[in-house]
Amino acid sequence: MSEKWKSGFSLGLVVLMGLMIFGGCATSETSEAPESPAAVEAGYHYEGDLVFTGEGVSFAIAYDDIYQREAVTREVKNISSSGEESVNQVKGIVLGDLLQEQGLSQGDYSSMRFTAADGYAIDVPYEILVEKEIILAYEFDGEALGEKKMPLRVAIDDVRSMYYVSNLASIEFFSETVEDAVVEANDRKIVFIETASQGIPSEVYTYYENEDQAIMMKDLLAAYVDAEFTKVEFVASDGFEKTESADVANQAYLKITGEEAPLFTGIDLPKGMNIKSVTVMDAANVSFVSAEQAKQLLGEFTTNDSVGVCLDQVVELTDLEGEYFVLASNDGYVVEVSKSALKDAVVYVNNDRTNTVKFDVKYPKNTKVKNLLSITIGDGANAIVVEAEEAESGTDAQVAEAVVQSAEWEIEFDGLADGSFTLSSSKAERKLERVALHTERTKNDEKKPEDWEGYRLLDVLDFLHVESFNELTITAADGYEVVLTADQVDEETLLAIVRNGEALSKPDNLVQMVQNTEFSTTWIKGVAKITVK
Amino acid sequence: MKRIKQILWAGITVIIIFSIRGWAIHNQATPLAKRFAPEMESFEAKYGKGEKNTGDEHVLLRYRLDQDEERFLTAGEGYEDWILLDVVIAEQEVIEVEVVYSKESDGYGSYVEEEWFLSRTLLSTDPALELVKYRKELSNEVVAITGATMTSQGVVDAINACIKVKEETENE
Repeated sequence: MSEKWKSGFSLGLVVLMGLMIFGGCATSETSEAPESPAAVEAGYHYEGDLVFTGEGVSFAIAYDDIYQREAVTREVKNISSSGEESVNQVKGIVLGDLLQEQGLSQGDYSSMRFTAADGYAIDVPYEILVEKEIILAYEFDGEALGEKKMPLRVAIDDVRSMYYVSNLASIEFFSETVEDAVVEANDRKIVFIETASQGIPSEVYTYYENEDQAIMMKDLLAAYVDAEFTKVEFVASDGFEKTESADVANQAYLKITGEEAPLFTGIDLPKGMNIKSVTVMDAANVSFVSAEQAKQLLGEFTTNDSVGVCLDQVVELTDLEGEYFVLASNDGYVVEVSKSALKDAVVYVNNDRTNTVKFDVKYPKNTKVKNLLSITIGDGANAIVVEAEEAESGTDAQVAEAVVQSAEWEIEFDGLADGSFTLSSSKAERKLERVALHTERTKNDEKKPEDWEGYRLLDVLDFLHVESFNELTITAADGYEVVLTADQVDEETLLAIVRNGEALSKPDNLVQMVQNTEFSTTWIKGVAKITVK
Repeated sequence: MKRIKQILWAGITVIIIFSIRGWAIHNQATPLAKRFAPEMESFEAKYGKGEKNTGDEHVLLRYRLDQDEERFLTAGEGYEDWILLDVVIAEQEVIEVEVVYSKESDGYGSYVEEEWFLSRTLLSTDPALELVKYRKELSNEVVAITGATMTSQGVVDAINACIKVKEETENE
């Protein structure tokens, strides 16, 4: 080789060596393009293990081990929170097969919690575990899972998409061994969410573009549920039903204003676990009911010019059963009604987000309960009874079409053949016929029309086996007395307990003796004692 | 002597080659810039040629609009994919945020394009934005989209990257 060639060759070699040396040292900033859903290399590989814990179980299986197993392909449908359905072909392993190797069965557990590496977790309830095949999938529609969804994604056919946990990291088993306390039928009650939430401190809760108000579930549950409970069962107005553990429920919020309220949600609760438009929440012996959502579910009902939901239908949504029901407001006002009366009542939500129940016009006005808070079972002692009877001939006294609950009272009867007798309000309600009386007495030169309800004095005496008498001394609690001769006492002499549709409620005048007379000189308020002579 | 000269020339050649290579590497597009080259091109078609060397790989383009106002094309990592935002910061306030690119989940992160969410980011730049859930208590807090925390965080991160770039320039 010539010298020239040798020199050229040496020079080239030096250049080449230099390029190789520095080229090897150079760091390239041109790395792989950032991932969007990144492709996973064929022959799947993912560092780490899928961990199984709970109920005495503790083991882990390497993801790579899972990839090696015999895979199945399934077509699965999932439903989003907005009701949209998606169908996918998934490839993965059957969880049941994997558990079987460990001597376990998914149907043995009350729930299983699937947790993703980013903390997202959802409890799969027993109803799904016992019925559905659960696939731990690594391919969806022929494509490997994207980087964010790797290594595994849960796939279950025909369930909400919230159960399709991606980036699956662990599975935890739960068995409910504590049974909810057995609740006596009489201990059950309905609590209206709208009124109840007024008494619970609320806070701002930003929900999408709105700043709504929310209360803490634990505050609501603690205020009204005395019995122990392990779960809360929800029914939404779109028919969706779900059971949440007490633990989850107690950490959540109930959004009480704005869209889809009441809405069960929480700061760290996955959106898929939200329950919109809650209509009924059952915890132990209490059914929390939203009148607004009940109207959406059951339809509108109108009575007495008020639009809401029929009370009968609301009660049917719950397990509250009985012949009589006590409707209570949040200030202690109560009205007892028979079961048959419920169909004549409407419950509605006011602008201040409290509930009101109103009855048909044939019921007395004071059957209306504002700030309706709860409904419990009654014993009928003070029940409103709607009796449609014909008026008795010859008198203006007519059988009341409805009996208004009065306060409790007692009147002592003296001078009876067998001594004395105390007539109580409850006994009167059970034993005597309540009648109505219209009076137009003159007072201060003015006619004063009044409508009374109560018990004919003659009926009371008949009940007490007083066959005849000469006079009655009516004594008020304050000692005031009126003496009536026998001929002054007629069919229109009433021991009245209701005036103009309102029960007499003043402590010193729970029973007033009234007559259909022009003047009220013989009338006496606060009847406490009647002496028969 | 001749040999020495040859070696010297070889060495100089190598140095020149690598200087050129180094310059090329220095000016090469970042991974995000490579990924979103079409979007950057559209952005530049709209606003003119922008500065690519922003000092933050997430801030793809930068425009000095005036002494105190800057526009950015910035990227934040959402749940499904990156989110590109057009962000304008004037003095010490975020005054404009628009979504340029987003592929977030329908019904979840898709709300990132809603005005009611983006308007929450129009805040002072000092302190930097911070994402919170369900309730805002401090002035720099941005309430996340319900059910789309990661998407919301991506937006906040993207805007904070711009804030940082602007501050670093001001501090120089």
